[in-house]
Amino acid sequence: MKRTELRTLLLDYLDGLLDDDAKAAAEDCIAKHPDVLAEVARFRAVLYRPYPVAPPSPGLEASIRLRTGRRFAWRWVRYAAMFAAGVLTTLVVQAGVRPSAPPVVAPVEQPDTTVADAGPTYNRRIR
Amino acid sequence: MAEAFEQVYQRYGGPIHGYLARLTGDAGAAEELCQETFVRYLRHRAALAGRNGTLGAWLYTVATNLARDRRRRASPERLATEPADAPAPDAVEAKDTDARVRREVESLPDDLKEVFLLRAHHDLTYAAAAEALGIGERTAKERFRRAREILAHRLAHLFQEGS
Repeated sequence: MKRTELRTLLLDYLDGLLDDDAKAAAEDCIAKHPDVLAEVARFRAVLYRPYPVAPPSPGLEASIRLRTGRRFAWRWVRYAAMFAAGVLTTLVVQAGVRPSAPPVVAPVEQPDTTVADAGPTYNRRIR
Repeated sequence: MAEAFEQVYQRYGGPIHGYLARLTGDAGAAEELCQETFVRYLRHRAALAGRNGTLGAWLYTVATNLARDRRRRASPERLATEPADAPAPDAVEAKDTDARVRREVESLPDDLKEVFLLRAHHDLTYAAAAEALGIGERTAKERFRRAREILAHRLAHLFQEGS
């Protein structure tokens, strides 16, 4: 087996990519070629070490809270507005369906039926 | 019971940000996408309450999808302004091992890079990486192997050098 093939086999072994049969073959190789194992271990140590990147800014957590906080605040404003609209609608509907009061009729002036006034009228009718 | 946001951010904030920084190669984008990832977590916190064991995978899924969306939106401009494989001038001359590894990892095809970063740099199992990326475990293993072969070919000197 070539050295590059040995490296690949041992890398697969260390990376958990082999089935049981291939694992046994790899373990044989490890016993016979400790120098290749050392090379492979060195390669993995460098390649699998996360290279440094800039850390998150200190304000990131606060900005996440701010964004979600605003959203929650607006949600409550929306709920309150919806509730108020509901109450208003209910009031308007209730006012619309309330049974109407009997019509107000202007008082009719009743003829004066006192005896003094009735006399001449009576007399005129007789005539 | 939903875990407190402080605890979740403390546990996953750094790793998710680091993953996004390595995946996008852009600190500003990593910051923006990390913020969006945790905003989405807060929006879905109640539904995620029963998924404590797989919360990490969920966060990596969201982060990966956001990075993919950003890449899709940015790619026409990127193609117009930058040649695809042109390395940055400082990277060409970089002799530092980390810089060389970084340059090679960043130049991997995106689907290979995602698996490689999750498995090798963020210590997810193949199963967890597969879940985070929405692929099968076998596919995850295959992609990881291909990524490592490319890197082993390009960084062959690492087999001999001490670190």
